[in-house]
Amino acid sequence: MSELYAGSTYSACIDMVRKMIMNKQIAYSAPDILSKALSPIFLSIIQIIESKRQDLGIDAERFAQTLCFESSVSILESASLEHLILDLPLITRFIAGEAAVAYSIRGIVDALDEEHKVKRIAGAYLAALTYLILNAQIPQ
Amino acid sequence: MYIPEAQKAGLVELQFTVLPEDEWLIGISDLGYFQGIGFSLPLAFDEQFNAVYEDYIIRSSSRDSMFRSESEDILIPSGKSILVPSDGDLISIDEVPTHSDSSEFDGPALESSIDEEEQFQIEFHSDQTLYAFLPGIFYCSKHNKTVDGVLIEVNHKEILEQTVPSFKPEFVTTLDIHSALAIDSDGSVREVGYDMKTVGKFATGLISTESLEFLQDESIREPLSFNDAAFSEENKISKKLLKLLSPEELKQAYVSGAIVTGQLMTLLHDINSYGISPRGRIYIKNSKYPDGQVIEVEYQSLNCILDLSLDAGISIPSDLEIEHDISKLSFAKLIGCSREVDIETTILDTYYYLQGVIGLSPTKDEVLELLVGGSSFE
Repeated sequence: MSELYAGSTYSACIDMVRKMIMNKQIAYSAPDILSKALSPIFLSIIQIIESKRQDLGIDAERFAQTLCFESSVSILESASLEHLILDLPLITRFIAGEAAVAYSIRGIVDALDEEHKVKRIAGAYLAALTYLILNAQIPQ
Repeated sequence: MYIPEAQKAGLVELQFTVLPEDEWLIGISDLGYFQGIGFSLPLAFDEQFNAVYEDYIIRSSSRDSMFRSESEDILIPSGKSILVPSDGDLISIDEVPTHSDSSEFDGPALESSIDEEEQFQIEFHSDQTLYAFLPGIFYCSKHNKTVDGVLIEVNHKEILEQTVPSFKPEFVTTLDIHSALAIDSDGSVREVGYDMKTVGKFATGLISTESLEFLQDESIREPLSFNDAAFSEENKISKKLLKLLSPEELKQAYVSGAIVTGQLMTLLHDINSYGISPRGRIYIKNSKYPDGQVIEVEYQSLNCILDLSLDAGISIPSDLEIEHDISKLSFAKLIGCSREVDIETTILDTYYYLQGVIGLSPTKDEVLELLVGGSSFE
């Protein structure tokens, strides 16, 4: 039951955010608001992985990464920002790397534990997506 | 990914996930050689097949017992059993659409002229595995070794109705920059040259004194767990980057960051110790080694000078199975006179090129200068 629930939550989240972006309902000015609006997608991805962790085994991270990437691409497309897809892998890795350092500096010692990997992948994609969408809104 | 039009030595990073602690490979490659990543060409009929096939044409054409199948564009003898590659399954000719009823073939009935004893089978290669190949000196984090090239099998896995590929071009990043970024003591970003003094001077933690605020934070007295803090640092970093960098500057910032610099230094140290010359190892990731493996290879064209043989191509004495799989792979070289090359030729060509631009034992500064200078070697 739980996996079915997680899967349908995910598609619903994607659809909702895509609609919000296409109808320009998300206020682009505030990073926190956009980040909050995008986070259900990534939370539901984490939920899918957690509910299927036994079956996924060693593929869990690879699967999480594919799902996060595809979702981010889909959101960028709905915001007509297809040209930024090329920047996505690099900025995600950049943020993931800097965040790993930042968590350690803050004294969150268990951040690099194996069990948190999927959350960190999702977090990096969420932050990268927020950055890319908001940056495109800033008048150059 | 930046693809140069001419041969050019550049810094290339290969990472399969976004997390910094996972496996990464960093190296100096020449992306002009294949105009990007090299993908293996479909295997042509091999010599054995050609010999049998020519013999067949000579014998059959003399008896006019052949015809051209338009759809297949290959000569197929009607009524004969034939082996066609279809995931390794055998298909008899009856299942292959033929034109034996076509009125354009006049003359004697085709079947009557066929001798049952002359039935012969054409064997195609059924292992048409696609490989992606990147030549160059790469350092592999998991094996702590440098290799002469990276070879990755491209396949797909269906997981929960989602196709998860083993290799995506997104895994490969060209780190081509002309200058680096550094952060001043007042938190402002400025462009600097890229050399041993300035590498690794960009970190989002240094951007402002905000990062020290947590010291006054009450919560710091309690050890925090990741579950309470998940996403928090990522969001802070994206906010900081938003204030400071445009997407165009991201690559500069990334290359100037501590993580890439750390990786690069490991590579430079290895080049310092062993120079620019073949290591006799390649990195392979395929169905036999899904997690990636460094294997020892021998370059027969280098050895043939010593033992006066005419052998060429790589040989892998420790793993004949892999040797059989990869020694026949060919790739399309697109720089200069384009032609088909194998793994050995590509690796040796790349080394000759790199030795030409940076010499046999360059210093760390010389390598860095080459990577940003864009000096092109004709």
